[in-house]
Amino acid sequence: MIRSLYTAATGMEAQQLKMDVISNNLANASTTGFKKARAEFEDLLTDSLRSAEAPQPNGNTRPSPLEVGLGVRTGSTQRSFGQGDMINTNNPLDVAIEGQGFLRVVRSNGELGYTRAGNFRVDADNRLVTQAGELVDPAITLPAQTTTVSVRQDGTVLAEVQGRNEPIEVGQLELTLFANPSGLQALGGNLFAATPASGTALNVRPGEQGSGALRQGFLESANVKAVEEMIDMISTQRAYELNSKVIQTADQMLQRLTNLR
Amino acid sequence: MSDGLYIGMTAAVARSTQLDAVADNLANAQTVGFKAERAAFETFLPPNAKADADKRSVAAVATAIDLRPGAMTNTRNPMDVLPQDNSWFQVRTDTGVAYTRNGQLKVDADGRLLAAGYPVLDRGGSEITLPPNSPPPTVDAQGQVHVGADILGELGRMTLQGQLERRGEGLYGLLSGTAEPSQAALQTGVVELSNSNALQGAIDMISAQRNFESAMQALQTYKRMDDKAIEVGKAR
Repeated sequence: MIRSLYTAATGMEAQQLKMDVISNNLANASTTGFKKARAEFEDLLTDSLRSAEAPQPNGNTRPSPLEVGLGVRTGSTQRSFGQGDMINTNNPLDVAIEGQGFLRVVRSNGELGYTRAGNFRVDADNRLVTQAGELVDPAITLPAQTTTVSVRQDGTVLAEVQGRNEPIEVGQLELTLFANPSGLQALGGNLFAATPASGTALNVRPGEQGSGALRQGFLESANVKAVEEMIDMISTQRAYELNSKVIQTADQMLQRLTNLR
Repeated sequence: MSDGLYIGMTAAVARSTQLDAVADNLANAQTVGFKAERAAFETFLPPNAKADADKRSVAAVATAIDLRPGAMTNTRNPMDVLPQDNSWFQVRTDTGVAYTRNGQLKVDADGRLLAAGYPVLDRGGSEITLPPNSPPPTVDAQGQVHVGADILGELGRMTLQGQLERRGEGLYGLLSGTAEPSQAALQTGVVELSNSNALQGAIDMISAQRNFESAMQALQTYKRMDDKAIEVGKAR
């Protein structure tokens, strides 16, 4: 009975964490390029009260063991890198990825970061940067007096400059693939960093190896489905309540036991 | 002291074991691939009891694993796969092969494909490793693992016959019986939720509590009878 008190406590803790993950997903339901996370649980080691072949009080043996699990723990939180919906913005500096690739940027500490949010802008030096000012890697500088920027599906960036008829090629957006994107470390600010678990970065041109074509004038919305999160929230709350009921029940039983004397 | 006191005690102990099992089922209500456990009870006679004794004690003697499939939910994650027909994935652990219904596949730092945190085995019983610098793998309905145009192997699915034991972390082992390779198709983008049913859990919980209380009531009655017997002794 004391065991069930602690088992139910692990259950409540797990549901609390799941609730935290759900609320973060919902909070970011309209964050460009956000990828929802989920808590993954695993059952804890099992307490073997009696093994399968142990003798019974009546001298027989029994093929099945008496095992009681000790609850649950959170194995990991995993990000789902499913495609978000495409939103038409008509902004020439918005780029969405239709595939599994990541755009590469240089973080303020000089290391590389990876992002799905292609809502770029141009900084004071005419360079293509993210909303937080991180430079796109490899760097792309637009010529002064650029009138129109166009991004092809394969990542080629063209600029039309005042006074010239032909657009000029100013750079190439690249995409990066990871064997295990869920192993990426989330840095906040829509950025991810490579880790040993994510596998080595594979830099490709957009469209190659399933990295996905680029869509200019579109943004990828968060892949959070509000209905799914609400349903998760309901089931999480109910599971939490049931676990608290277990604690109440065990407490009442213990109370009954104490009153025996 | 009456024998009944001890019989009441065995009942109380058995019901607290039942509550422990219910607590574990409910704690794992959101664990993917979890299979609920049910305590089984049996009456027994103490070893030195006379053959015609009518006072039988009760004990929780075994936990059965409820192998019914849990509800499925759509995740749209291509690395969430689930074998159909109640068949199982095989994984390699330090203590031998174990089985799991948790098909949330991952890749570790060495490029090995993992299920439930352990290397998942292919049809031939070997691990599946991605080549370095590979794009994300995909799994088709036949269990074939694709990287780009290459096929790395086929995820093994097993049909289990016999007695299972829980190993924790979503893993199950075979105590006796056989594991046969199966041709069951895979569904991708879905996971199997825990099959521990909230209704069943709530009812088991009430039943454990009420039975515990009636055992306590019996214990109290026996205690009062013993008290009375002592009082009678004092009067003399």
